[in-house]
Amino acid sequence: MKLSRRQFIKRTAALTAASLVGIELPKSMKDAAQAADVDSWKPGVCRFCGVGCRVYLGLKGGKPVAIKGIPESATNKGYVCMKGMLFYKIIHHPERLKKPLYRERKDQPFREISWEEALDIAAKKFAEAVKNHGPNSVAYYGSGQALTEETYIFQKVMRAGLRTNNVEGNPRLCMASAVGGYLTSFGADEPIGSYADIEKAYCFFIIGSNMAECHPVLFRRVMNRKLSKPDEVKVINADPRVSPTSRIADLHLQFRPGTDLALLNAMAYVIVEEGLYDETFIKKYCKFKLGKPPKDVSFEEYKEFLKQYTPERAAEICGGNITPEKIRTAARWFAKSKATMSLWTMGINQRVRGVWANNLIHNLHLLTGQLCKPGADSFSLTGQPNACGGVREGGGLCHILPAHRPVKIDKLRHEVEDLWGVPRGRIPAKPGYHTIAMFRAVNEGKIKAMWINCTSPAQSLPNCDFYRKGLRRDDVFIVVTDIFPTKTTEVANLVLPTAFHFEKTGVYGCTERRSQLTVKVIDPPGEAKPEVWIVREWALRLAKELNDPVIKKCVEPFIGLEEGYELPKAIWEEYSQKLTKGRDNDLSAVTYEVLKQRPDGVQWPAPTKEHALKGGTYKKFVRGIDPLADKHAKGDDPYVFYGPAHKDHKLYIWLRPYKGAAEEPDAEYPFFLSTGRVIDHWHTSSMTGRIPELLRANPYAYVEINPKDARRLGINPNDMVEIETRRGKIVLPAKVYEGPIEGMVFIYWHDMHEERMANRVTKDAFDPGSKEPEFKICACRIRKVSGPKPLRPYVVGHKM
Amino acid sequence: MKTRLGILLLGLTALVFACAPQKAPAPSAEKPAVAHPELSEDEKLIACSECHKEATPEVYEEWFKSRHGLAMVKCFQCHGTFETFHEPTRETCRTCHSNAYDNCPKDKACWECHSPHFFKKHAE
Repeated sequence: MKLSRRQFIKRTAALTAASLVGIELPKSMKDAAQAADVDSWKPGVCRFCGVGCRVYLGLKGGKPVAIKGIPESATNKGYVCMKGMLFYKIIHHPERLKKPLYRERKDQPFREISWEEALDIAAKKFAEAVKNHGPNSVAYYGSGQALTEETYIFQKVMRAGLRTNNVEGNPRLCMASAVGGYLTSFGADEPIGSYADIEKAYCFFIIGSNMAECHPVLFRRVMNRKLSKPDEVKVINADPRVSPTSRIADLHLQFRPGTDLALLNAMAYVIVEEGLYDETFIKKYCKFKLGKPPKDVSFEEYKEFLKQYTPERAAEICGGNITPEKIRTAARWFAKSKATMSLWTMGINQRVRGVWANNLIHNLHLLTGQLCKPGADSFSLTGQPNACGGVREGGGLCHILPAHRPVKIDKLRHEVEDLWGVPRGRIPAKPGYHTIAMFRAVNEGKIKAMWINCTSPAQSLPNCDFYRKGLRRDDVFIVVTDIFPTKTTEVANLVLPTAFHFEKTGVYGCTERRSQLTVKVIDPPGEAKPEVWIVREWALRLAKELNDPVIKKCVEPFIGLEEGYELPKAIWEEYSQKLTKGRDNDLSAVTYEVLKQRPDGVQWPAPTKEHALKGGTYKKFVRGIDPLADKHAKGDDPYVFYGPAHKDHKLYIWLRPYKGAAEEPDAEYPFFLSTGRVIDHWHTSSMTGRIPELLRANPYAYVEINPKDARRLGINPNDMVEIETRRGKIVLPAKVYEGPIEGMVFIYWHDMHEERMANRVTKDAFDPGSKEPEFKICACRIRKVSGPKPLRPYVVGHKM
Repeated sequence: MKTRLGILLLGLTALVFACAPQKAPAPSAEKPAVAHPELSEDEKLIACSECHKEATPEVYEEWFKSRHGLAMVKCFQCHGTFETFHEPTRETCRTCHSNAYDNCPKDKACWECHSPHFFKKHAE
C-alpha cells in the first residue's frame, strides 16, 4: 500500500470535513435497479460450500442479475453469504473460457481448436498411454464441486472403460479423514443427524472449524440458536486460533497445534472419571477397540488407557490457555447438556492423524449417548457442495466404487460390473493411486495422461511446487476442464471450456445427506459444454481408438441424449436407481421428478417414493425415522446401527493415543504454520477473485501473527514478512492480530500470486489411514523483509 | 490523537449519515448524493470496515455487535463496492429476507423499522 491506513484515514477525513469534495462515487444503481426488476426467479443450489443453500437466480431478459435465498429452505432458511449472493456475476464474466485450447508442448502458446479436434486429441493421447504404458498410466482427478452425474460418468469410463482405479479428487484433501472416522467409529460414512439438530442442541462443541467464515450460513443458524437461549445453550470453541467463530463461544480452548488428540482424550477421561457416561447406551450399542487389526478391549482397559490423559497432563501437552479446569468444564457441558452437537472441519481432518481425531470426537458422543436423539450428533462439516453426494457417494476416490462400495471387496466390485453390464474382472481389484501418490506418480513419469476436472491442484496441493514440476513435464499430457484460466490450466496441454452452474443440470449432495437438483436455465457462453457431454463424446472416441466395445458400453445408454437435461437425467437415473438401490445411501426412489416435487431435495436413505416425497431420512439409524433401521431391526432397541462396515452393527469407541504433527517446530523453524480460508473467497479464488466486491474484501493473502511474536520480531501491521519452510519461501503482508496462538502464524490460501501462494510452503505429509494431507500444521521461520509495499491482486485479467 | 480522530469523525460521520439510507430510494441514475474522498487503486483494495472502524466507530460498533456483524455480513453486501456503490434498496435486503420483503409494508424502507447497521427487530 502506498499509504498506511492511518494516513489514508487522515486524508479521507480531512477531505470530507473540508468540503465533501473528492470523487463522486459512481453510485451505480444499475445492479439495484436490475435486481428490482427481475423477470423470473429460477430455483437451484448455491455453487460454493458444503452447506447446500437453496437460492433463486434472478433473470432479466435471459441474463442473470440477482440471487436471493429461499426462505422455505431446510438448509439456509433464506440466508446466503456474500459468495452465494454474488456468484451470478461469474456467469457472464469476460474471462470465461469459451473455446477448446490446445498446445502440443507446454512452452507453446495455446491455440483455439474445434471440439472435434479437441476430443480426438484427448482420446488419442489417453489411448496411446494405455496401449504403450498400461491402464494405470492414465488418471482422473476430479472435484467435490462437480455434479454427481459428472463424477459418476467420469469414474465409470475410467474404471470399466479404461480399466484403472486411478480416480481421485480434491475431497481427498478435505474430508477423507472424516470418511475414515465415520467408517471406523460408526461403520457407515456421513453424519447420522442433520442441520435440523442445530435448533434442538443445547451444547455446541466446535473444534478445528472456523465455520463463521467457511460455512457462514450454517454458522448463522448456530449463532441464532445461541442468541435465542444465551444462558441455556453453551458453545465451546476449541482451536489454536481465535477466529470469528469464537465470538459466540462461552468457552474458548486455545491449544498448541497438533495437541487435539490429548485434549479430546482428556475430555473422555473427565467423562469417565466423573461418571458422566451413559452406561446403558455403551452396553447396548458400543464396543471398545484397539489397534490394527482391531481387537476388542474392555471398558476397564479403556479407563486404564485414559489415565495417560488426566486434565492436568493434557493441559501440559496442550499449552495455550488450556487449564485442567477448562477441560473439566468442557467435558461436563458436553456430557450433561440435553443435547450436544459437535461440528468440525479441516482443523481435525487435515492432520496426520485426522482419522484418529475424528474417532476421538465420536468417542465423546458414544460415551455420553449424545447421538440419535434430537439435537445430539457428531456432525462433520463438509467443505465442498458435492464432496458428499458426488465423490463420497458417487465413487470419486480411488478405493471406493459408487454407493459406498470398497473397490477391494470382490462381491461389491462384481455387483457394479453386473449393474453396468460389463464383463466381470473389468474393474481392477486394486485401488488406484490416492491423491498424493497420484501426483508423485506424475512426478515420476508413471502417469502419461491425466484429466483434471473442476479443480486446480497446481495451487491446492500441499507442497505444490514439488508437484508442479511433474505437471510441467512434456511427457505428461494434461487435459483441464474448467470455466476460467487457473494455475492448473498453465500446465495443461488441452483446456476444455465447461458450462457453469445453472448452465447445466445436475445434483449436489450436501453435508447432511441431502441431494438437491439444479436445472439448466441459461446457455453456457461460446462453445462451453457440460462435462457429461464431454465425457460421453470422449468415451465414444476412446472406444474407437482402443477398438474396445466395453468402453462404448459405458456410455451406450446415454448416446444421442440432449446434453442440457436429458443426458444428466439418464446418468442420475442409472446411478440412483441401479447403483444405490439396497445400499446405505439408497437414493433409488429419488428421481429428477421427485427432486422437482421436493424443492428441498431428499435426504438418504430414501428407498421408496413415499419416503422420498416426505424428504427422506432426517436421522439415520433411528427406528420409526429411518426405514433401513426398521428393516434391519432384530429386537426392540430404538436404534439400529446397520452400517456396511460393521457387520456386528456396533459402534466402536477407539483407544487412540496422542500424536503430534508430522513436522513440529524446532530451533531452525520455530513457528507453527497453519493455513485456511477467508469468508469472501472460495478455494483458489479463480471464481471469487473475479467478482470485484469479493476480491476487494480480501485482495491478497495475509499472514496473521500474534502481537507478542510480532513485537518480538519487530513486525508491524502490513510489513512484508517472509515465511520460510523446508519446502520454500513466500512473502506476504502481516496482519498483527490476537488470532493465532503465540508461536503460530496463519496464512490465507486463496491467493494465486506466486509470491504469496500458501501451498508452496505447506507440507505433504498425510494420514496413513485416510491419505489426507496435513495442510494445517508444519514448521516455519518468519522474518520481516520490508515495510508495507503496494501489492497487486493476481487474478484480475489473468488470461490464457 | 484523540483530537485528530475527533475531527476525522466529525467529517466522516457526516459522510456516513449521507450514505446511510433514511428513506427508500427509488433506483435511478440521478446525480449521486454521496461523495467519498478520492481513492487510489491501492486504497480501493482496503475493506470498507478497515477505515470506517476508526473513521465512523459508532456505525462500526453498531454493525459489529449486531447479528450482521456476528455473522460477518459485510459493508459491500448492502452498499456495493466502488463501481457499484449504492444506497441499499428493499431489494438488497430481499437477498436474505425475502419473506420480510413480501410481508413488510411496501411503502417503507426496511430500515425505517429495523434501524440501520443495528437491525433490531420490532420486539427487541
